[in-house]
Amino acid sequence: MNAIPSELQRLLSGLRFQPRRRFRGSYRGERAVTQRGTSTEFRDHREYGEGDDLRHLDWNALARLDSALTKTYRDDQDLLVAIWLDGSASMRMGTPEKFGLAQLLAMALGWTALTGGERVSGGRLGQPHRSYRGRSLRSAFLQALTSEGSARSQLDLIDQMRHAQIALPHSGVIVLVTDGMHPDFPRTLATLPKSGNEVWLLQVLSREELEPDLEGDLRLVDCEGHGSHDVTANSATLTEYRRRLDAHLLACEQAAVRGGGRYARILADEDPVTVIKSNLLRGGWLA
Amino acid sequence: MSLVNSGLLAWLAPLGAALVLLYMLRMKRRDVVVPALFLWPDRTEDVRANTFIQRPRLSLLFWLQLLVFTLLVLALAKPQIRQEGLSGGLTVFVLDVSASMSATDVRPSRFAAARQVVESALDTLRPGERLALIEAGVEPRVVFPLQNDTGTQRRLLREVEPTDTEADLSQALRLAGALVGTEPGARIVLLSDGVSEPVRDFNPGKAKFVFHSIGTGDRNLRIATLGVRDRLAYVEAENTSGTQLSGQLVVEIDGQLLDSRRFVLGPGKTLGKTLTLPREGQIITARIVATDQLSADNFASAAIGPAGRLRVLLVGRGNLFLERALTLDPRVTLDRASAVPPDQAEGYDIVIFDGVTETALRAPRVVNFGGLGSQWITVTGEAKTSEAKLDVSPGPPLEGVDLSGVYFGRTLRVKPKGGAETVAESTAGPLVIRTPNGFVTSFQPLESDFPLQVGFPIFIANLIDALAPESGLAPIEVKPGQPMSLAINSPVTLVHPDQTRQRLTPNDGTLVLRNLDKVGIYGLELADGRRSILVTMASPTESKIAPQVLLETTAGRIEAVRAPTQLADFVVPVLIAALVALITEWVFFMRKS
Repeated sequence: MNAIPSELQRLLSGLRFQPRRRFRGSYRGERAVTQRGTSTEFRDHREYGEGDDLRHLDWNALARLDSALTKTYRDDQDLLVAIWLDGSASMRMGTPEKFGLAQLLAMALGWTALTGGERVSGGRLGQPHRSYRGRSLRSAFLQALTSEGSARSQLDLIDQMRHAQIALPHSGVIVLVTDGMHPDFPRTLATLPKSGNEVWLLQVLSREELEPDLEGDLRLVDCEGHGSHDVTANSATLTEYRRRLDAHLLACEQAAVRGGGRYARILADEDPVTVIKSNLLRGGWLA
Repeated sequence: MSLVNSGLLAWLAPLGAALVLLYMLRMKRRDVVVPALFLWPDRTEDVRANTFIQRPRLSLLFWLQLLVFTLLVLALAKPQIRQEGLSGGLTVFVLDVSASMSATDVRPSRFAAARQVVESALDTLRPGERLALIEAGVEPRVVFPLQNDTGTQRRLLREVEPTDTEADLSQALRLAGALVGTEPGARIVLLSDGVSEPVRDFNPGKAKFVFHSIGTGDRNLRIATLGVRDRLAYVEAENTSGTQLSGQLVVEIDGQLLDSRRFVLGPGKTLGKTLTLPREGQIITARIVATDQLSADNFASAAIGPAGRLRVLLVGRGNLFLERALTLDPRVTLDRASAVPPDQAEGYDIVIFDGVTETALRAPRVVNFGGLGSQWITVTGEAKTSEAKLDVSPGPPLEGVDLSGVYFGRTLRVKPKGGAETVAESTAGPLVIRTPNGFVTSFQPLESDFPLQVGFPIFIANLIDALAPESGLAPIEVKPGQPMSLAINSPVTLVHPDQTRQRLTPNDGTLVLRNLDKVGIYGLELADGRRSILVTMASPTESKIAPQVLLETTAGRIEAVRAPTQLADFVVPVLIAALVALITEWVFFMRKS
């Protein structure tokens, strides 16, 4: 899958990322930031202070009002959007597979960011990430999201996230599309905002995870090779599973939200258009 | 708890081992790949096993299953528990109704307490169980046979009353043994104070014998003796208890006070008093006024004058038929001897020689059965067999006696002499001869089938009547429960000591009284006047009312039980427990599955 449905493209056309805070980019871009910059778009006056650049002194105002005012301007800078798509084995679970919707959402968000002039980094976790900018690189980015396998793919989610974080050129919005099925995921997630990043977590889950249809005496095998153990899937066991799952999901949400980020829980069988409308648009993620 | 089939418990070992082995089989589990193993608790509840051996995981399920197995095996072993009560299976109660059972040391009386035991057994009688009751009095009586009809049984039980008689526990127990002695697990329960003669010839067979002793005290005074001779009376009071007792001895003649005195008697001590009787009077009574525990022996009565009693000496090798026929006469006081010196015969009204050679006596009346040594006959020979001649009209001693078909074995061929006369003949010659001082027979009763005939006791009664002085309406002395017969033709009224009246009709000229089982003076209202029947206990055995904890039997001593217990089936509760355990196990299994 290396194309975004046209219906989705129409929906996303003209939409821009709406981070909760402003980031300073490396290149002059199309995004207005709250920091007073040096672009030609006048923003406001303020009293002249010692050390201000005399080039920005409003001489007309000084002549008319006899008051030294300095002009401030809107500064157009690009936004770094890091899109991390979890391609671990657990994402291949469920009916339909969680990875299908997760991949489509990552592609859509990358497409939107590049279309909006943002600088996009990332790809599938576990693979080398590179930066993309400009509409011409949208296909390349989509290609990166759909390519399979590399040396790092054997690492687990936590290690992959650490590697991806190191590879970030500077802080920005980290869009993480994953199921978060790792016991250390909430803790690792909570470290990302400390580097100045804003985390947007799209947690994709399957219905089988929420309501497992298991019964009897089983040997459960972790899909990512984290061992196995015997379980008698009775009501007590299922109750305990649901309790642990709820606690884990809550921890994931709190880790994302407490760092000033956004969180959405999505089921793998949901329609992507509905997901974008009900979660991303209505939630103010995109506008 | 005891087990009928305790050997079945041996099955617990292999069953338990098999269960443990099942738990050693490891579950063959289905592999399921899950996205997040850390979310699943490491919780296994092995409820099935089908492969490989593992270390057994003995969960609650295992213990519940072991409990179910244990309870089922226990139920198969037929557990029984010991519980208070006396019913269960086949039970025969032998209820002592003798005089001592009227003692009031147990309120209201020992008899009432014993009857309550039977009532309680009837209350707890379950379907399939049967219960019988035998009344142990002078003669045993089956009040109700083995049955399970508690309504009828209760009604019949209420009709049983205590008596002032001596109980023949031996006969009653033998009867009980005959009822259930062949039934394994049956029980014979004797409800008695154990105050009786030793039990003889009793074998409970396969049944279990339980002696439930009733009674706690021994405080009793009794009239030990009330004798009259010439114009003197001798009365004696006795303390039969183990403690000192006081009372008042009152002696009356025909209801008029003759003597009264207070006394204090130590344990086992007696107080004797000789009293001179007035010229007039028929009946002397003595009673003790005291607060002892048995009142039946506090009263005695005796006839004044010779007509009241008849002292009879039976000399022979022993003849039960003759003895019973003689004791049927209320006037007869019978002594027995195998031989008697002439000077010892004085004081007897009648001496009877039964098959032994007659000795010259100064006794007023003599009956010689067999004719050996009689001075009133001449023996001419001996006949091996003979039959009575029915064409000859028999004399008075044979009135009402049917000799047809009576077979006589060896008889003497005799001829009467010296004023004697034949009153009945056989084919071998004179059979019964009246002599100036009595009667002689040419046959011995035990060498004929005459004692087995209905006419034999009538014949003996006729002999006694013919030899006894005319008694008229003189009082008759009997012991409680002793049957007696009187030659009476018309209906009479019997007035009991409690003044209840009973209309009686004689049968074939004979009135048989069998229900004189209370101490006191009965009145028999005849056409020509009233005749008193004096019923006095005079039983040293029954007066020693201390309850016995050891029942003397010929087979040994049997210890009494105070709180009788019975073995009751415990199968149903065990099965219910097994069912509950099984349901619990199932619920537990379903919750774990």
